[in-house]
Amino acid sequence: MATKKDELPQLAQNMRRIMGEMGFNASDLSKKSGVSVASLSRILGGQVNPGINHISAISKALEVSIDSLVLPNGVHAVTQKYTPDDSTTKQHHEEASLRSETDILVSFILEDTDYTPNEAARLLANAATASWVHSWTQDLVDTENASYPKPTIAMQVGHRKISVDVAFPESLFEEGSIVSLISVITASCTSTGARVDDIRIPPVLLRTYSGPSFGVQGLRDKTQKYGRPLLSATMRPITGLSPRMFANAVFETLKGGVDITCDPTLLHSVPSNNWRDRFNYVSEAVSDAQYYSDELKLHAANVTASTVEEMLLRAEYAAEHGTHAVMVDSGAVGWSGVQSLAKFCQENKLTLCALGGRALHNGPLSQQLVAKLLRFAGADIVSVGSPLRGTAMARRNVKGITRSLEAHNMPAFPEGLIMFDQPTCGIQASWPACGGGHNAWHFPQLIDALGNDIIIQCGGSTMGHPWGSLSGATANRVALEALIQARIAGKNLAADGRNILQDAAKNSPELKEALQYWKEGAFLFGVISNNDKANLDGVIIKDKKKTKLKSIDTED
Amino acid sequence: MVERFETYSFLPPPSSKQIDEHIDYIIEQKLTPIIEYSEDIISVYTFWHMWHLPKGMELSKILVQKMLNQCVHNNPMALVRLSGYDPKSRCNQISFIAKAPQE
Repeated sequence: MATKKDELPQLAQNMRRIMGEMGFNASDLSKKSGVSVASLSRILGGQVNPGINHISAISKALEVSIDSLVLPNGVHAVTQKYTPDDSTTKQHHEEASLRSETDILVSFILEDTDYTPNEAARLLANAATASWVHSWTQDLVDTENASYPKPTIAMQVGHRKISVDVAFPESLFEEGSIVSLISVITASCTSTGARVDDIRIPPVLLRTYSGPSFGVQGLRDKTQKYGRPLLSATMRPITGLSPRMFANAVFETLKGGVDITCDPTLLHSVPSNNWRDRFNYVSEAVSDAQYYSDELKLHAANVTASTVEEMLLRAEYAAEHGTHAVMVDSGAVGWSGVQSLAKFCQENKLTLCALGGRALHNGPLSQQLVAKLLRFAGADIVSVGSPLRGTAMARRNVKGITRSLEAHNMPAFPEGLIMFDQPTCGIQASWPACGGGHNAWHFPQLIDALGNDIIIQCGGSTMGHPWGSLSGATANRVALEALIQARIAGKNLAADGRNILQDAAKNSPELKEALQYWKEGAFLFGVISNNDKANLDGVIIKDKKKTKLKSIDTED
Repeated sequence: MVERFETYSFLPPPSSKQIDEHIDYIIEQKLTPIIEYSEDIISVYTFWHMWHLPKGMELSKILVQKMLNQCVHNNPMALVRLSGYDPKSRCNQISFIAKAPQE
């Protein structure tokens, strides 16, 4: 059921099928696409995980979209229903089928274990009930009507990997509380080494959550921006600016064409840039930018604080002064903070952005599960990674994350680690915000991979434009709108994206300068150049070969 | 139409020689020059539009003069303001109206 995360068996199958249909063989394809025959044979043999350059060249040569190569056939239409376990007695069968509609199904995975599937199932059953020995109070409990977590399926999925599905009865959880859901389920992860892959929440419990107050449709109606993705930019630098200069930068960026500007995640309230002054000036900048550009704008003010009361105080100030949006570091603040802030934002008409803190979500819960739970907790904008950095596997994982944020149907998608069908009960969709060093050259592939209902975070290329952030914002906006126009006319963005951008640059000098300045393919994130002598003076570097410490005085 | 704002507003409008002296001071003290313009009534809107200096060129008196004259030439009906921002104290050390609207 669960495929390994680092394999792409469908790629080789799909490529062979399409090459057979079109009558190509490997040497023709390598001539047309520019990929060497040796690499092609390795990809077809399934031995290597190819990068995005090879995949886009091959897809352009075969004239198909990248998704039809990477994803298995018919994944959009498949629905895998969960079937209850086959039991021997009829009574068991009736009980099991009655309970399966109201059970919370959790898929655990144990990596690198010595257990057999049987032992693993018993281990997790005991861990879930939190009882390893029999206590005297067990005799006082009505065992006929009390229900406990039961493991249903346990199977070996790899060399030392076991996947176990456990069904929790719905009487263990509190209504309207994501915190109690996580607390009960991750109790089985303590000292067993298990991780949670996916949770299926049935309608019985799902109707007690309210979901995002705005979501995709609500934010589009509030700001009247239809038919295109939204642009966002995070302010930089994080220290050194006075509150008024900060707001000046926000004004310039919003006036140029960006829809949402965000406070940096690292900036909370320091004596040189305290939160009251900053919110004050920034709200004036937002209203001025709205006047000069005739569009509605938002600025996500950072309200992360150490106590929940302080967070609500800052959010109230932001609501009064008119920044229209609020952001929080969801990893550091925790699930209680996010839920209390979501309730406040619903009453005060603020948009809640759960950006930042993605490094803290690498714990026992997997990333698409965290995105799903943030959506149910009430966040309107959820940050996901970028599908373009790294290999084709990253693209599939990010697609799994965005699938858990869509409204209409959420079928199972095991390659993206979504194990169960999830009913939605009408809860609104959230915006995925993808970022990580993008510039205008990457927009065609981004829109091709993730669709129209996304927020593109391109703060580096907006504020790093040689002519200032006004021109940077205009350049990105022109590129975005030209691509959307071409997409509706029916062109293939992954293949023709470069030509569309270069045509659009003829009418816009800002875009032309941007396309020349950002050389194609360069990601602005995680770049270490040889000219950076900034902070390396005085660092003591330990050499692995030599046992002595290298000191600053000696010249080695 | 408003013709003055804050510093030096009680003196007659500055001549080009006085503006040059201020630009010398900005470059000597290593402040960051900022050129802004605005056409509307100032008391309502607090942020002015910026005329950016190009990146990658060394800061010199001729550059600042050239950009200032370009801004004045492009916006004849606007107030143009020259400021020098000091990153250490996070405040503008110099800020005055360089050109009033020419009607």
